Amino acid sequence: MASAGSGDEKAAAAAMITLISSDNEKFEVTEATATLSQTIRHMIEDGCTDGGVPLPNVTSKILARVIEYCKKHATAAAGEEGSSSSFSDAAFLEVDRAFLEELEEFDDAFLEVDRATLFDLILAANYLDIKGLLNLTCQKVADSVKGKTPEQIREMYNIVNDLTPEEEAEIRRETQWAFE
Amino acid sequence: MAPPRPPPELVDDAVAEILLRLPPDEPACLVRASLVCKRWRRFFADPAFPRRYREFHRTPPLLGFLHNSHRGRHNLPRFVPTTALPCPKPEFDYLDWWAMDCRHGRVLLHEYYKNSLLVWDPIIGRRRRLRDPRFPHSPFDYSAVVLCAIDGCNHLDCHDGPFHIVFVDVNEFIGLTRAWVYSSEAATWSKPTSVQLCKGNDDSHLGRGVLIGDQIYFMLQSNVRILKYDLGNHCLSVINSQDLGLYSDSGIVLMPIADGSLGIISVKDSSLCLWSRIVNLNGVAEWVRFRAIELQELIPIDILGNGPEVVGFAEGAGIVFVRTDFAAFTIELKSGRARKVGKSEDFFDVLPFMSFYTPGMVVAFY
Repeated sequence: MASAGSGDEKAAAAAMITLISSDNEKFEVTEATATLSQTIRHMIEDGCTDGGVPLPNVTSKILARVIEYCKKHATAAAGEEGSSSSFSDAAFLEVDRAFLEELEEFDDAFLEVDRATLFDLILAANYLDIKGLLNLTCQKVADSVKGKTPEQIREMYNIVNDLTPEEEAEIRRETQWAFE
Repeated sequence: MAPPRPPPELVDDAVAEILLRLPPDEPACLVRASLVCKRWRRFFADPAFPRRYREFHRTPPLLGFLHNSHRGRHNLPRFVPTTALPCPKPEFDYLDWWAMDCRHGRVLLHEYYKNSLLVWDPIIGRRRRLRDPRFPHSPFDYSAVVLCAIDGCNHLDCHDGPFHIVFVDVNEFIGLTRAWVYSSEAATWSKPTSVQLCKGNDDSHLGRGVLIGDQIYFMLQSNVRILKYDLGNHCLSVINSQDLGLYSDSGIVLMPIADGSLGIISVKDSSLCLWSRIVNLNGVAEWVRFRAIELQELIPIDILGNGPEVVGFAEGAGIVFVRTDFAAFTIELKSGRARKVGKSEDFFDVLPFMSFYTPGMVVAFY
C-alpha cells in the first residue's frame, strides 16, 4: 500500500492555494499547509478558493510568518499520521521524539518577536482559526504577565487603565493579599 | 532609534484565550490581571469564566498545604502556601482540631476530646460537623479520608456536593482493625467492617490514606503492612510486605500510579525513588523502582543534611514533599524541579491543598 500512500501525498502536494494579504501580496501554499487554518479549510470545502483567498485582516509580513508556522506544523502532522501505524517500532518513536524536540525548538525561536508582532500573530491566529498557533502565542503572553503588577502589564501591552481611582482602590482593598 | 511599535488592540476572543492561560498555581496572577482595565475585569466577572478556566486546566493546582501547629497549649491547623507569589490563605479559627485529610477541595478535621469530625470547605467556607463513629470515646489510633461521593466526577467543581468519609482505627492489643464509611447524603455511618492483624506487632499508628480508584490504602507504622479498604464492597484487607523497609532510608509515602495501581515514594541512597508493585515470574509481589531522582542535583548539599525524608504527595498534581534537617521542599515529578517552601518543622504532617481559585472567590479567605 506504500505506493498508493505516496501517490496520495503527491496529489495533496500538487493542490496549491493562493493566499492574498491585506497589502495584496500573493502566497502560494499547499493545501496541507493552508488547512491548518480552520477558516481556510471551510472555504476549500465550500469551493470558495478559486482566484485566491483574500485575507484583509492579515498583512504580508504577518502572513509570511503564519505560513512559516503552518508549513512546519503541517509536516509534523503528516509525520504523526505516517508513524501511527508503526507505533510499537522503537526506531520510529526515536524519530518522533527527535522531531518533536525540533518542533519545540522551532516554536521557541518563532516566538522571539517583539510584543506588537506577537499581538499581530495572535489576531491572525484567531481570525484564521489556527489552534496550535493561537495556543502558542497566547501562552507566551500569559507567561509574560506572571509576577507582573497591573501597571507593568498595562505598560507592556499598551493597555489604557480605564478603572477610576476609586474602583481600583476598592478592588485592591478586597484582594490585598495579591499585592503584598 | 524609533520607539517600538505599540501592540495593537486585541479582539475579545483573543483576550479570553490569554486570560484562560494564566497559571492556576499562582492565583495572584489572575487577581492582578483582573485589575488591568475594565475590559479584562469583565472577562473575570463573567459567570462562565471559572467553569471555562477549570475545564481548560483540568487538574486543580496545588496552592499549599495544611499542617497541625500549636498556638500556646492549643492545636491549630495552619495553611502554608507553596506558590511563588502571594496566595490567599484559608483561615481556620476553631481551636484544638486536628487536620487529618484533604481531598477534592475539602479538609477533614478531628477533635479528640469531643470525638467529633468536621468537614471544612475553605473555598466557600462551609463547615459540617459530625460524630466520630466510635462515639462517645475510643483510645485507639485512627486515620480517615474524605472524598467526593459522586460517581465519575472529574472533581473540578464538586466541593459543595455529597461526600464520603472512611474512618479506620486499630486496636493494638487484640490486633483488630475496623473501618466505617459515612455518607453525607444519608447522614449516617455504616456498621463497621474489620480485619484481624497479627497481635504484638508495632501496628498502633496509621498513616494518611491514599485513594486509588475505589480503594483506600493506609500505611501501618511498622512499615511492613498496608491496610486496604474497598469502598465498593465495604471490606478491609491487609497487604503484607515484610521487605518494605529495604526500599527506604526513612519514611515511606503511598502514591497512586498512572495505571491505577499502588506505588510508594521513598528516599533511598540520597535519591528520591518511586516504586510500583509488580508480581514477578515466580508469582511473588515485589516493589520495582521505576524512577529515581538524585536529590543532590536538586537541593544544595548543605541544606540536604543527613536524613531527607518524603513526608507527603499531592495526588493529581504530581508533587512530592521532602523534608530535610533544615528546610522543606516540593519536587515536581513532571519537571524534576525542586522549590523550597518552608521550614523543616512545618512538615511533620503535610496535607496538600489543591483547588482552583479565580477572582471573586473570596468567601473564606482573608
